[in-house]
Amino acid sequence: MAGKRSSKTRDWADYQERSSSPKRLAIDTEISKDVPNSASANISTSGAAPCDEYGAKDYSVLLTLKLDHSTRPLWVAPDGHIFLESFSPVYRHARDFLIAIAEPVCRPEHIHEFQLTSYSLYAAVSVGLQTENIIHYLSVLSKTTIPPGIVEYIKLCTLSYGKVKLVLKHNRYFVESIYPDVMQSLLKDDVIQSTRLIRSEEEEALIVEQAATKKQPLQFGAKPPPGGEPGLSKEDSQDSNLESTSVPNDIYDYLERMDRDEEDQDEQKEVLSFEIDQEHLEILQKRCIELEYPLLAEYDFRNDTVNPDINIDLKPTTILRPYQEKSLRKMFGNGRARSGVIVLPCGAGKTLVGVTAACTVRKRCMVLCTSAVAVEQWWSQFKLWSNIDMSVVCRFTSDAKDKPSPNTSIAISTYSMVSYTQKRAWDSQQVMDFLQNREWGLMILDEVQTIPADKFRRVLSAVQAHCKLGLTATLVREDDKIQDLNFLIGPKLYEANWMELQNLGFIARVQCAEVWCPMTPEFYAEYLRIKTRKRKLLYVMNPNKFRICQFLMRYHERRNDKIMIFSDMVFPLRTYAMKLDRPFIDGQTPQKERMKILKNFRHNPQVNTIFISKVGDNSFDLPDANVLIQVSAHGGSRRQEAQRLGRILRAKKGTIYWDLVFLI
Amino acid sequence: MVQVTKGVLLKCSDTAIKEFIRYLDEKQLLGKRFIIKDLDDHHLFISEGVANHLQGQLDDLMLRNSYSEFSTTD
Repeated sequence: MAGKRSSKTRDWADYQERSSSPKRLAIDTEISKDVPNSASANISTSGAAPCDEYGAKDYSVLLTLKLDHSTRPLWVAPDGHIFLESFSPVYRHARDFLIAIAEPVCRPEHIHEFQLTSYSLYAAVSVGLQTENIIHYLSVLSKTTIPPGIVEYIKLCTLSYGKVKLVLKHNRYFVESIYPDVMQSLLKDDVIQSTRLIRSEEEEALIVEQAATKKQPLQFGAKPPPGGEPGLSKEDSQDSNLESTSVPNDIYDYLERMDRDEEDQDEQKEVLSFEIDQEHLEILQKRCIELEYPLLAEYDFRNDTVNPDINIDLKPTTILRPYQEKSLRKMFGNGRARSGVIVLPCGAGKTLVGVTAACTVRKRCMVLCTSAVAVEQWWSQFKLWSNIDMSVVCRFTSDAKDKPSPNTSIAISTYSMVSYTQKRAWDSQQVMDFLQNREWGLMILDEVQTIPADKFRRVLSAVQAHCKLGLTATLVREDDKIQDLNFLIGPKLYEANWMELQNLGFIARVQCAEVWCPMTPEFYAEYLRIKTRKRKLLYVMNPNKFRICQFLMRYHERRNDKIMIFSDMVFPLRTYAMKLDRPFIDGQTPQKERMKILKNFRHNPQVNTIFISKVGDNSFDLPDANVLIQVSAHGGSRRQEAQRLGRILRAKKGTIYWDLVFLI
Repeated sequence: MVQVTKGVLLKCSDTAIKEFIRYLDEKQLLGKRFIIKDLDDHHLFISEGVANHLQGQLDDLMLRNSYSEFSTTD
């Protein structure tokens, strides 16, 4: 493998080297241990394709086109990129398959680009796909033969993943596998042998049991109206009409098998398991990663008799959208809860997915989010969607400390609160002790992309939870740290396609416009002569920009729109707000005042415009805002733009996103 | 006594660009000072030889300010 390393792997190796140097924090070294070696594997680019005069790669030498290529939807390039024709009749199935095995790179209207990565393959295995099936489906769907390097890569990344599961049953930890040879090799390891818990003589041998033969399919939310799920079934029948036209039979066969496989792959297979001493759990997990058999954590919540069930159900009026249900199906695929991350665009109802997950597990649930405002929102969402008795829901922030009682079954707090390491006030220490001494069934991590790995580890070590669900709109960070999350929480279980949700009308269609504001000569002259960070201030305060901002604000106010104006820098934010005489929220605005401003913005027809600094990027749920003006931004962070865009996606009216950019 | 200097009349429809050119002149980034006379908001009178060089500098500026996947500037 070492010989095949290319640039990306080298970065990773650098990272590992750096982090193991004694100067770095000990925490960092721990993180790199959490990631198995094959995660850094790269696709071998053996036999590089010749480039033509424009730099395009010519793969025709390496791959042969199939005779019936026009009916197949995929191109698989030797560098791991996969291109999908979205106008193909089998598009929908191919898409579901690709989302399971690859990372979407770019999804415009007609051609979607995906990329195979070790993490995406890890995720594929954990939702139940098997190595040989992945390769087979891929080759069936592809227009050409599959490059041998890709096959090798898929094998390398998937063979050892997902073979072994860590299951919590009746509050005892078991290591489970359906592969006897894997089990044997694990048991031969001394370290693992020492972590085994042997209760009696007979248990010395492996426990063999038949896997649950017929699983009850899980039902989410309220009972569907007669006729099944209307949205879904209609779509299906439309599709089958289309498909009958020109799809080769083999694609059909495999599609059916794939669906079956994903749903209940371990039906009627012998499951081998042995019990683990809870105290040695951490050692076992580390050792398994070293042996390249990372443990998949699953929580058999139905058979958990130690933790009490809580009485929570979705209200009968709550209806899940098809994609929300699909994402939850991935999570509860085999009747147990998997840990992982679900990616949905802002405004697509992440909170409802979280609430439904809590209603499905029906155990104590802990919700962590980024700000106190978000805590309030989760609290009100639980009230809105579920029938839970609100007295057992406890909020824990620096302002609102609901007294925890023994009955408290849902706790909502912020990351900073839980990971706080300094000395606490007496009452918050009480609450913290309460959180730490409980065993939580489900931990929901909102906006999971925002937390750095070390803070995250503190959270995980502070609170014991059987199953972790991460929710995010943007699983991208400008650094590489997002990959760590995949192994700290779990793989990505589902990612929705932004464009498609938009076309189906689930999220608002947004018009984006960049407005170029010419600098005035005086400001530009100063700008050129200053090299410090004051430069930024000069272009944000550019009088032309101010005038354009004022014009847009007035224009939209006359149309009765609700306008949010974002600025990263606090000084311009305040100046703009004061000059234009509108309310503003920045980091220093106290919680009470924030809530007051937001409430006014929502309900008071006199307040149509607010100015918000970076604090409003995430989790400000303002369903009425439909115009967003960005005065200044990082200009380099995809996450920030997407999150801000998300603030107006909930709107019902036409939405507009103005980005004011300075021109030279 | 009349002094004759050969030069080029430069018309800048964008005043900010004129500021940039003045900045180049002031810092002597083209090797020497080249503005002979600052006429008004939109017009400069510059020495003859630098016109091409100036064009290159302006193109550079435009390139720096527009997004490119391969740009390595901050």
